[in-house]
Amino acid sequence: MTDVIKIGIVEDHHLFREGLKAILNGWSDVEVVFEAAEGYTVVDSLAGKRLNLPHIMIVDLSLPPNGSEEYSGMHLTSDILKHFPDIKIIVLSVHIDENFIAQLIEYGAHSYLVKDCDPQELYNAVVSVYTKGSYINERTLKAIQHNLNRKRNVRPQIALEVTKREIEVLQLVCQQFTAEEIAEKLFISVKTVNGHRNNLLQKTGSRNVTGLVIYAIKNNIVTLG
Amino acid sequence: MEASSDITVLSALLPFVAIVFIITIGVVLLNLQFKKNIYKQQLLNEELKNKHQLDLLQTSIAVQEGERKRIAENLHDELGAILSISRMRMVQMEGDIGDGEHCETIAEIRSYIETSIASMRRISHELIPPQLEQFGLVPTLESITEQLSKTKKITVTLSSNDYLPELSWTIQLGVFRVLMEFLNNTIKHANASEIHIDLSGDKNDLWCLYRDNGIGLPEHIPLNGLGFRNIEGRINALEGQLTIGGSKAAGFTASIQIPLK
Repeated sequence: MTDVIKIGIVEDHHLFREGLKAILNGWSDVEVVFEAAEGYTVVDSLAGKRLNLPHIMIVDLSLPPNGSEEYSGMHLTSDILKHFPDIKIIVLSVHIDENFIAQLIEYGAHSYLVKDCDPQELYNAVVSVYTKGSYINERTLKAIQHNLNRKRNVRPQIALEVTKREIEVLQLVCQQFTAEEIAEKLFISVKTVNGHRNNLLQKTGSRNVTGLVIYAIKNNIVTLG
Repeated sequence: MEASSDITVLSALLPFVAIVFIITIGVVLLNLQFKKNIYKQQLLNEELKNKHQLDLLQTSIAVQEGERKRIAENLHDELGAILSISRMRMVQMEGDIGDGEHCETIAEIRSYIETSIASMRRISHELIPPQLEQFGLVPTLESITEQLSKTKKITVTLSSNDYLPELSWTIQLGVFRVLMEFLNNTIKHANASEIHIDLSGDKNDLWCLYRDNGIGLPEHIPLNGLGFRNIEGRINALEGQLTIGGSKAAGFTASIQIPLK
C-alpha cells in the first residue's frame, strides 16, 4: 500500500495523546496530521485545513465541556459527520459498557475500540476503516446485537401477571389442543381449563383465541417452530 | 326598709358581679387563645425543624454523590487513559523485543497494568456507574441485572412501563442506590435464586417493586443495620414511602413509592 493514511487525534489527556502519536507514527503507512485536546474547536480547525484533511479521526469519548455546555465525543462524532461526511471516525475510549458502544455506532462512528486494546488491533482498525469503511470487533458486535434485542424486548408489557398455570394452558391452546384434551393433560377439569382461558382473555385484553395466540407469540411464550 | 336596703345593696353589687364574670370569661378565653397560639407556634417550629432536617439530609446526600462522581470520573478518565497507554506501549515493546532479554519481566509488568485497569474500572463503577448519567435508570439497571444473571447463580429480571415518566437525576440516583442495596442484601444473605424488579409510574408517582425468592427477613435481625439506614435515608430524602414485607415462604418484598411533584 503506497497511500499514507492521515489521522487526526482528539484526546484531552496529554500523556495519552503523546503515547498514541508515538505508536501511530511508528507505522510507516500512517501519519498524524491533526490533533486537538478538546472537541468543540475541532470542526472549525478542520474547516481551516481543507487541503490536508485527515482520513480518519480518532476520538475520545470524555472530552472537556465547552464552557458550561457538554461536548463529548458523541457530539463531536455527529458534528464531524455532518460537516465532513468523508472523514471516518474511530472512537477510542475507556468506557466499556455496551450502552456507550452501541450508542456511538448509532451516532455514526465507524469503529469503537477501548483504550486498553492491543496496538495491533488499533492498526487493523485504522487500515480496515480506511480501506473498507468500518471495523467492528466482537465486543462492538455484541453491544449492537444486545441493544437491538433489548429494544425488541421492551415492547410487550404484562399489565396483570399471568400465572404459571395459565401460561401452561396458553401453550397448549397454541398447540391447538381442545379444552377437553388440555384438561386431560393437566389433570384438571374442563371447567377449570375454561376458567383459565377466560382469565387469560381478560388479562391479555384479547377478544378471542386469536388474540391469545398473538399475545403468546409477542411475549415469547410460544415460538414458531 | 330592711328589704329595700337589701335590694339596693344587691342592685349595687349586680354590676360588679357581672363585670367580674365578664373579666373571668375574658381571661379564660385569652388564656385559651394564648395556649392555642403557643401550640401553633410549636407546630410551626416542629415543621421548620423537620424541613431543616430534610434539607440537611438532602444536602449531605448531594454532597456525597457529587464527591463520588468526581472521584469516579477522574479515576476512570485520567488514570484509565494513562494506564491504557502504558499497556499499549508495553505490548508494543513486547512485540519489538520478541523472545529477547527481559521479555518475561515485561509481560509480567503488562499483566500488572491490566489488573490495575480492571480494578480501576470496578472501583469507578462501584462509586457510580458511568451509564447512569448518560442513559438513565432503566438501561443502567438492565446492564447490571444482565451481568448478575450471567453469573448463573441468580436470575434477575427487570420490567418497566414502556413510558416511564421523566425522572430527575436525584430520583434516578436515589432509586438506583436503594435497589443496589436490596440486590446486595439478597445476594449476600437471602440465599435466593430469583430476583424481580418492576418499575412503573404515572405523572404523580414512581413505583418500584422488588421481590426475591430467598429466606425473607430473619425475625431476629432488627431493621437498623447500616444498609437499611441508608435505604431509609435515601427514601426519606426523596419524600417517598417504603413498605417492606415477606416471609420465609415468599421471600423478601419491598415496595417504594416516590412522589414526582
